[in-house]
Amino acid sequence: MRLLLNKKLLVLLVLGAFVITLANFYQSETRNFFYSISEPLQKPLWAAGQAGAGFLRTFFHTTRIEKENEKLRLTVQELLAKTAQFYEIEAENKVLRKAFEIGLQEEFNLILAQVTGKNITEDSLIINKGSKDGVKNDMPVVTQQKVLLGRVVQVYDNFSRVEVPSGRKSSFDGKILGSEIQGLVRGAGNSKVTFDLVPQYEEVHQGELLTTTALGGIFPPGLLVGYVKSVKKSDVEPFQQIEIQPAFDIKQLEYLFIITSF
Amino acid sequence: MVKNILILILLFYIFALLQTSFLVHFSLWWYVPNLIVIVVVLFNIFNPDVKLGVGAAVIGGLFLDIFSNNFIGFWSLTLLAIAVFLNFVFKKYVRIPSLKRA
Repeated sequence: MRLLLNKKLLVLLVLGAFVITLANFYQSETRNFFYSISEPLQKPLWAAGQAGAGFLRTFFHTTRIEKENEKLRLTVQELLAKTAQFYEIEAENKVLRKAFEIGLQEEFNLILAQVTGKNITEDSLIINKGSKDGVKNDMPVVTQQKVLLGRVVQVYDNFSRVEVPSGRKSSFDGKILGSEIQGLVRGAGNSKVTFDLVPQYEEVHQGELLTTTALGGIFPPGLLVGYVKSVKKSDVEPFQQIEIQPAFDIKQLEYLFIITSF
Repeated sequence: MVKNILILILLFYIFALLQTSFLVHFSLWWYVPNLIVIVVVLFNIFNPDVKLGVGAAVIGGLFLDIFSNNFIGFWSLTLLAIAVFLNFVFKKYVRIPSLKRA
């Protein structure tokens, strides 16, 4: 009670009450004044608080962050896989478009396949289409530019093996484009192709194009095999020695077409 | 006394700033410790000067009012009541050997 009886304190209390009442009348002005003078101090404090709390959060939630990180990593992997898929579809789309431009689809019944493996030393390819997709032995394989790639030599359920013309077992009839010179296209291994059984009297020139013929019935006629790389004539030999450069690069192959009927 | 009051004003202003800008980031389950209330309570318990304790309550309350949404006077009156109550209780019923209340 002595507190209340203290005159000085009583005056102070009355003064305090007066100030408070006045401040309430000018509430917005009072607050605005304090906020404006406090703002320069509050900003760094706010930033410091944020940084400190962020640090503590990281410190205390390491396990949760690790789990979240793992989850995000999985999501990134999933998205990357999807992106890769999209790229593949895009590439496939381009190949199909090109094939349509050439009119390959109108001429033959085709199956689009992708190269999944290459055996350059054995001159063969593994493609991702097999018996389940309707692929059969001896079916011709071409690029979208109508270049002969070879024929199917082995069929599995979902995959097939394709032998390119340079394969040692490969032999079929060919013809120099724009002439009546015919011969036997034979694989010599190691990406080498020869054009045999061309008599010495025939004039074959370097750079001339070699195509398939209907003879033998293995390939449809008119498919580009390659161009003449070198011609050797010898009086001792009954036939010319002609080396052919295949029109495709086995290392660059990715998409190809299997001709199911022609 | 005036010097002490000025120090209290500065101190509580800093506390108010800390509470509204710094400590808000360290909330535990949405609860931010009310620094000014804690200081006022502790000040009134351990400070033997009653007048200064009451003054601290009013000043601290005013700063809390300014930085809160309540009408000005809510916190100053609440803290004033707490300070008077604490001083009354500690003067009448509690004896802290090292402290002698004025």
